[in-house]
Amino acid sequence: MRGHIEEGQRMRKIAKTKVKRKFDKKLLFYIVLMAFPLAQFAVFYVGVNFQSLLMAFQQYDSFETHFYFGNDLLINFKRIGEEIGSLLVMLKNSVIVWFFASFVGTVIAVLFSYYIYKHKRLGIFFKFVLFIPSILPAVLMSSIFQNFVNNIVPVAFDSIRLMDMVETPLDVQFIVAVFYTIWIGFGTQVLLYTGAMEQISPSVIEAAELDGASPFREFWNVVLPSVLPTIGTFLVAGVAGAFLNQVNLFNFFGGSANWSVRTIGYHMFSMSQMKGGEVDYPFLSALGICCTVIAIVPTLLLRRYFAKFEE
Amino acid sequence: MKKILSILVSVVLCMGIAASAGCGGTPSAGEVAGKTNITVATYNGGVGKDWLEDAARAFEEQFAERSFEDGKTGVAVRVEFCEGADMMEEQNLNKDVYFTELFDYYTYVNKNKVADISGVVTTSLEEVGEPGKTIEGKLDQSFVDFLTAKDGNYYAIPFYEGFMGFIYDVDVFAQRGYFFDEDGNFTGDETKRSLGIDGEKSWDDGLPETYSDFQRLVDKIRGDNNITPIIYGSDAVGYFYKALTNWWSNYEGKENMLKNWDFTGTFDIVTGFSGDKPIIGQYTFGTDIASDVRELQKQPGKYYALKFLKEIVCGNANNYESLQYQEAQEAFIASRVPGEHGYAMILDGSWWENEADLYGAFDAVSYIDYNYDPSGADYKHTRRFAFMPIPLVDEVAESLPAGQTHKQTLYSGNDAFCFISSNTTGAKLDVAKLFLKFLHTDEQMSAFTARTSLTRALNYEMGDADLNNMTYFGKSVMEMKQSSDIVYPYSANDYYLRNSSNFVLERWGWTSKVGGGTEDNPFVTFVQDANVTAADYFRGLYEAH
Amino acid sequence: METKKRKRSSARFGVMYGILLGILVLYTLSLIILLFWTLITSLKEPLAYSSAYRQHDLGKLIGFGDMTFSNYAYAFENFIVTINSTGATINIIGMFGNSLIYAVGCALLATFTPCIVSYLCARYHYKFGKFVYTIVLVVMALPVVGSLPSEITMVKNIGLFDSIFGLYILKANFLGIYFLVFFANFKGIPYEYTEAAAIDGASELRIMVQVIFPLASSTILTVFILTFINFWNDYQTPMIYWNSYPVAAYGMWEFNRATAGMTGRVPIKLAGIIIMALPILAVYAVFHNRLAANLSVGGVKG
Repeated sequence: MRGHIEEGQRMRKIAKTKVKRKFDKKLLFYIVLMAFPLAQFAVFYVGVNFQSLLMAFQQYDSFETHFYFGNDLLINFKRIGEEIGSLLVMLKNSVIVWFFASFVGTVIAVLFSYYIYKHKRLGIFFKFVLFIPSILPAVLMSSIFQNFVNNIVPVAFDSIRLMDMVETPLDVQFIVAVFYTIWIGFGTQVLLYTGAMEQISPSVIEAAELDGASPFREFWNVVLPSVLPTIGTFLVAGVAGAFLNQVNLFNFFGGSANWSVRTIGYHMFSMSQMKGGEVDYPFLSALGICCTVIAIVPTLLLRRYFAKFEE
Repeated sequence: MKKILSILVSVVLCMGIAASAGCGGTPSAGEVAGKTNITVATYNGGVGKDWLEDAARAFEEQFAERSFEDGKTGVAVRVEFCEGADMMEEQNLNKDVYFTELFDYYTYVNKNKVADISGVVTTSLEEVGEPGKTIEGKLDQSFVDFLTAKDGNYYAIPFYEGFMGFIYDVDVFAQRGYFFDEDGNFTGDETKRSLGIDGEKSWDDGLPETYSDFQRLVDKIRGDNNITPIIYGSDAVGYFYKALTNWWSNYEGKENMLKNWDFTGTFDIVTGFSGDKPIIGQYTFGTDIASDVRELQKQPGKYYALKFLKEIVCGNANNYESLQYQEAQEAFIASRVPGEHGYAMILDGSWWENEADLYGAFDAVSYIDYNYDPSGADYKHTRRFAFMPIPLVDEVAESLPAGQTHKQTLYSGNDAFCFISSNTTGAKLDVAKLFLKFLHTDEQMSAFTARTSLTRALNYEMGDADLNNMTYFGKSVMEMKQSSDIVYPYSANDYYLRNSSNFVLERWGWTSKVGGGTEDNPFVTFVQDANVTAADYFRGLYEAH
Repeated sequence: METKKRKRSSARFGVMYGILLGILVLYTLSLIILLFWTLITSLKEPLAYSSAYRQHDLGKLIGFGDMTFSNYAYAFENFIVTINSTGATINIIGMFGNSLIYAVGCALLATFTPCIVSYLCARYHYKFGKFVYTIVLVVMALPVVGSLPSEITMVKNIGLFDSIFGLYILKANFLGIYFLVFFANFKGIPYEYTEAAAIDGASELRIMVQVIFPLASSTILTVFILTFINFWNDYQTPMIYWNSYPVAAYGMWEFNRATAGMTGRVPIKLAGIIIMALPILAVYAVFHNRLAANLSVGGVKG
């Protein structure tokens, strides 16, 4: 913030000494460059979300092919009520995914990162391998994985295929999908945390080591606090992400995964991309609003909690 | 760094230009001088464009001497591929005639993307050599009602249709003795086959007539070595609910089935169960259509279709096996080859043979099939595949008066249509219209079927020469079409038109609430949970809508 | 007493190090085994593979016998997408071309839009900049879910559906974490640079492009590569908004769903996967140090 003020003062000084015409050119430059991004923002963020809000109260007429406000403005929300049984199952699935990805995944990733941070030589190798799954297209990794668990695992362990839409029991499908999603997702997290750890000034670590702090104390008192803001960012983003996470189901099954293994994110995406999907758009928008409302509380709580660790 | 950036910027600019040149195209390029040129585009969803090239050449020849504009004689038709209609709806349509899929008729009509072709549809085809006939006369009433609902005009004509069901290998049935004779015993002798449901010598001879016949057949096949009754594509389990819809239609008959889209009159519903027998009552549409339509979920045909799936197909886990889609087709084709594991039937659509051929499955099998003599006809034409008729519910078969037969009812929900772009004007429009007329003569539609083994969604007769050129399977599809009533899921009912997307099969057909959750594929549900009965799933249909 | 305690906790952590190392090794092994299996299987004779599967013969299924390179040639020639494409089939090269058009263009816009906006906010004193900065923070804090249907409708209404320019515009937004990364970067550059250039009579554009951006070039390039990889790997966005031009990732998804192309057999499919993976692995090999070096992402306050 201070930089901002200083810069302002400097600018005023320069403005005084220079001719006024120069100043106008500057403003013009500023406006020209700002115009497109702002217009883009106005249409594709403000406009889209406003329209989404309106849509939640509309219906679709397939004959006139347009959205309209019917007599019953709450019709889409009533439909949510009617479908609440399966939606709650999907919500539960989303929360399970969120819990495992955000908490279990994070704990393991932070510990991995610490190890890599402390053992630089082996760390380079681990880092290289860990990052491969995030470099390769997710669809490609899941394709390899699916072929493996449907071909090799059944033969090796004389079991059923683990990721077959019909043959595999639904709870197994879900567990395998969640396992796969977390298993594949480590890389990015580890990269983020090792990045944050490397920012710690070496003198702090040295001081801790000179003080004779044990590795555990060093981790707990020095390293962990310094990555907490990063963890916080990750967890906060994870709340909204929970409703977008498709657990790779679209990669595995396309649009036809069984309803009881679906997450909210998968369900909304697969319905949105369906042929003739317009008829469901108002319902999906209403569902989106409900999910946004649900997501706001934990997001704010997590933000408040992690804001403490900054500065 | 700056260099890298500037290279990147120029690369993307070049690409942008390349991309825009790629999609825009210049319709005038490659036109034949001295003739009136039109461009025809078709969607490449397994039908290919060879049939259209053939038709275009025949059309050019027939009208080589006719002048449509000053200083030009004859026509030139260029054939290209186009996208699915859902992708083109915002584009400037710069070709003249389109054959495409995923077509939402009223989106195109409301956006003024399509030309009025009422004249083409309603006037005589005399000009193109078929006096006394019109395209309208070849259309099913459901299409006529739906297409003209806006302002009485036609803006599109249905393209091809697709049927779904069990397809069997005639030779495997003969080798292994899976046909029924007149006494209901199994036989491999094709001359001793029973006359089937229609009671006359035709495509359904020697095949199961009732649910219990089908059960006997499946049990027999399962008891044999090295053969599985049914194979399906593991990534095409959606085919099951399309097949279910056929079984449902066959029970209801055309008139009752159409209630699902025209919402008028009285129809049968299941009011309850006594034991596992449904109690059948009736329901009549009143004024509150929005709530009345739900009653359609109680149509008895739905229950019996589910019963067939649950008790016969899923009655034993060894009845069926899955492979990936094309592997399944290939394995099915290889069934008659000694030493290969056999599959008596495949669950697939009427396009399967054409599709398997495109992917090279017939070629692959021909190398291992020592019965095949490569010096003769090509492999596909030596093979005999055909659709199984849909078996009757036993109660229905029993209640048929002696001597009376049952006509099969099939469902064809396919949003493939052809139309002329509203950008086409003047002489091009005249030629485009004439070309559409030309393509809808019996002769041309017959040629289409001979080429692709697919049928057009109109009524027409096959030419003898075309019939002789067809594969056994192609002939069987055409024979089945001509001896069946076909239900097209369209109507002009206002409630239907305004909510039509809710009545497509994916939404209206088989979504059910079972045990608190929602299911949309009965086959998956029955395999996953052995405790769910056909009646459970059936009751859930009403709950879910 | 104290040393004893320290030793004990140190020993305990030694055990923990051991366990961590064990898990890490297991984890990397699982990845390597999977990738190695992909490589081996892609070299297997397809018929031998499928008969080994049918006979449940694990040795043959994962062993080194029956090797052939023909799967690669086959996959290269026959991996074509027809469904929902422009109609005519498109092969791997064509799909790579589409991927490049999509990924390079979107990555450039998704890099330079936040870069330029944050430059304007960080280095000009107009109050509006603060407003934009606040917008970015607020948008990041608001977990909006489910606006995809509205977005599709909007793109269709504007007439940008199924057009690459539509995708470019859609992705040219300045919101998100990279805005903050760039902002911090530009704030950190001393103002003397700007002043010196201004006194030399350089225009605003020159100052931005020739003085300041080169100073931030490392960040710009890293962001570009990260977004490029993201876009290259993304099939769902082009599947919806640019469906007539299948990108490689979409083609891969199609192959895996086995609804198009000759993919019936696993070895051929895996050979195709390896071909598909090559370009991105090349990018990774060249830039992996840059990616491994971190982009410092701040906390929730930004």
